[in-house]
Amino acid sequence: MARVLAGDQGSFGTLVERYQDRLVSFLYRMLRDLDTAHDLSQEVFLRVYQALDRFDPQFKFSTWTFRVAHNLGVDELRRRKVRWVPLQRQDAEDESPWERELPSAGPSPYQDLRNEQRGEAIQEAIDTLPGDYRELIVMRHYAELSYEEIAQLKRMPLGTVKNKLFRGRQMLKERLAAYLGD
Amino acid sequence: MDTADNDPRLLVDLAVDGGLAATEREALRARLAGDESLCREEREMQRLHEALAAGRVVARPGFTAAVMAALPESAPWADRKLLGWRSVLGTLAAVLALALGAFGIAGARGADGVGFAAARAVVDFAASAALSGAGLLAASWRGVGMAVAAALDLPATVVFGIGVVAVNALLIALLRRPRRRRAALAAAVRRRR
Repeated sequence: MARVLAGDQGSFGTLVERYQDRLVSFLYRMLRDLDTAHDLSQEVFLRVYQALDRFDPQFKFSTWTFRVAHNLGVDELRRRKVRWVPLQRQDAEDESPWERELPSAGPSPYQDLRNEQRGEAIQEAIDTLPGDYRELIVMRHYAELSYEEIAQLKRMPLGTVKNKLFRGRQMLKERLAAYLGD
Repeated sequence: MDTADNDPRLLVDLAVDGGLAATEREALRARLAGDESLCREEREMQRLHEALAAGRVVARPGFTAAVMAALPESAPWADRKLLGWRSVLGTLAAVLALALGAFGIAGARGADGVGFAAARAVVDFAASAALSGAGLLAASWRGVGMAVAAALDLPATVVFGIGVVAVNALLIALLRRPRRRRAALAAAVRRRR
């Protein structure tokens, strides 16, 4: 960041590469629209770049960036008047071509189908979590923020973050029992 | 550990998520050795982590290049610094122009003590501007003071009534917290399914 502020604009590309996947993933889970997630991610980086000299070093860069992303995501949801909880499941043809493949060596058609079903079930399970649990799950597992970063971002005690994530995962585990059992 | 919860599953959850120190992990490992239900919990939690990780998406190819191309050519913070200096220099230039203008007018009239009169005119102008600002500020504070005084002059029963209404409004707002609405909505969605 110091190099960028000193005039080396190219170094900002390193920051973009470091955070782009986590940012797109986070906004995609929040908005359920990959194009908008990309557009907003770009907007986040532009805003961060424009305000780089105002960055408060007592916070982590990631916390700041994801706070900007969170605020933009919330604004977008308000603009669309769409809630975090969708009333309809996403259609199969809307699936993104950039979704990571589930790890498996040479999946059979049956495995493909099961992976697809599992992906849908996971999304549904996340969507139906209570709002604050869902938000923390998305921050931890899709934005890949640490517990400390989430605590800072949400202005919550660290113990509360741990407990809420634990309870959120327990709810997910119960709802996905058919896919996680022995 | 910052959590007050003594549920052993919480320790398993933290261990799977990399949130335990080495010594805590060792202690948990010993505990897991004799507890099949906790071992199953650990396996299920690991699968949940894998399943969640599988749903991550990656940015499109060329995303970084698109961001870099959209950045402004000159650094915005450099422009801001320049703007700050420009403001200072602009103000100084305006004052200077005013002083020179006053000198010019006085010189054209052929008056004696031209320099002193021009300088005095500029100082008077600055003093007038400062007095206007101070007057506006004082008027604002006076307005606030009058509003507070008027409120204090109200009969005690009216003030008490306003207080009761305010406390009730606060209680109603707390009872209707958005979290409850969201939970009710999620429950309704589950029932529909």
